[in-house]
Parts: sequence; structure tokens; C-alpha cells
Amino acid sequence: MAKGNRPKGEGKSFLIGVCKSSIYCSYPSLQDMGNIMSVSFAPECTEAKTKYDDCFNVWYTEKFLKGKSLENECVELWDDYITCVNTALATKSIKPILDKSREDQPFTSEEIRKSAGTDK
Amino acid sequence: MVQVFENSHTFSHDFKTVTFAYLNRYPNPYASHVLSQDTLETFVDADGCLQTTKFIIKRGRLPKFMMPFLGGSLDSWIIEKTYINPKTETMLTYTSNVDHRKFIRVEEFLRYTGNKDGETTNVVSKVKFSSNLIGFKQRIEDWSRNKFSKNFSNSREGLKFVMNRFKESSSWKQVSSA
Repeated sequence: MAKGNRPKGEGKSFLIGVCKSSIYCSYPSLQDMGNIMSVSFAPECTEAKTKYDDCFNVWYTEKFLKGKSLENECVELWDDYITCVNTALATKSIKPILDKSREDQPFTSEEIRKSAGTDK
Repeated sequence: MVQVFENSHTFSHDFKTVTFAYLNRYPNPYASHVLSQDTLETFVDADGCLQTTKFIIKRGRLPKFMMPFLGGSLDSWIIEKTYINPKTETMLTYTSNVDHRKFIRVEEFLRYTGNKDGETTNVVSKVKFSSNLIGFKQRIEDWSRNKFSKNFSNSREGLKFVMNRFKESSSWKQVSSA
């Protein structure tokens, strides 16, 4: 589905606090998050992460689950975020251990099903 | 012997709410030990299923008696893979620690399925605890399983909290766009 054809007023409102009485009363936007913001392991990536997460959540609930879109529409925000994360992973020497762990874990759906014993 | 924990539960929320809450379950008031969560990979596969890999850091999830082996840090690095099929309303998740594996490896498999009533969602949980540390194996596996059992209701409460928050904000949305 093409970008930018989301009906006006739809989608984002559940992410941006309509209700202001409690910090937990709606899924927080960047400015409302206070101490409950989901943060990146690298503080410098948190802002890019929040923008991407907000976009992803709208796409997931309004498009993907409804069968309206098979393409994640947050590509630009994703590029900013993952570039930041990959740089931080490399700097903090986390990347090698993550890459290694991916090799020996069930990372395909077939393998997950088998390992979980949920095969039919 | 590897320790195993099994459980099943029905949530009184639809698949959309449950999976949204699962993907956004941190932070919540029941998970103050979760320090960060990042998405490393996300794509829709050839079957139309969403696959996501996340990297989570949790504080102090390893036993203190292991401190001498761990060089001072009790934090855990966690990898989580989710697989979501929107057509069958099924979500499979696989979660495991990626560091300190010689000492303990915890692998959690969850299977969420939306019920036909469109209002409830089932989850089946299976968790394996395995250690390769000679001499400590049994003690570590027991410790790990006990700790997990104790925290299990907390993780469920945390998820419910996020579901309710989502539901509440969705109804705000309907009101605001009416």
C-alpha cells in the first residue's frame, strides 16, 4: 500500500495521549513518556527508536493485522534507528555475541514450531 | 536433567490487543528490571507472516552465587524472536539469553492463538532451563526455574497492564474520532 494514504485522524491517536490524567492512561508519546519510555540499550538511539516504534505500532494494528499491507511502511525511520543501533552494537562489542547466538538458535518459524513441540 | 516449566492461560482480550501488548510490553510497572529493548530485525516473510528479532537487557537475573564466574555483572542479554501469522491469528515467540550460557540457558516458547469468538486469546508456555556447569548444574537449573516461577505472575500482570492501557487508549480513540 502506498505511503501517506492513511485517513486523516486515524491511527496515531492511540499513541499520543488523549487522556492526560495519568502517565499510564494511554500509550505514551515521546513528550508524555517520562520515566516509562521504552529505551534503547544505547541512549543516543532512544529518540530514533521511539519514532520508529510509534510508526510500527500504527502500521501493525491499522494495516498489517487487517491484511491491508504486507510492507512495513516505516522504512526511513527504520534506517535511522537500525544504523544507530548497529553502530552502538559494534562500538560496545555486543555484535559478535549476538551474531553467534543467532547461528545456534531456532530462528526460522519451522524450527520454532518444532522446538516448541507445537507441530501438528 | 533439564528443568521445564509449562503453563497455559486464556486472556480476555482479542489477538490484536494481546499481540500489540506483547510487542510493547516493556516498560510496565511489573518489569522494572528490564533496562532496554531494541528491534534488530523485522520483515514480512513469503507467507505473509511478520518476523521480528529483538534484543533486551535485564538487570540482575542471575544467581548471586554465580558472581565469581561472571566477572561481576549479573545482567542478562536476551534475544527474542516473534513470528506472527495474521491470517490464522497465531503468534509464536522464542526467547533466550545469549550470554552466560555455559552457566544457564533459559529458553521460553510461547504460542498465542486468537479464539474464534474474536474476544479471547490462548497462550501456551513452555520454558526450558539448562546448565552445562559441572558441579553446579542441578543447583543452577533449580534456582532458575524457581526464580522464573516466582516472577511468572508478574510478567503476566505486566502484559495485562499493557493490554488494558491499549484498550483504554483505543476507546479514547473511538470517542475522539466519533
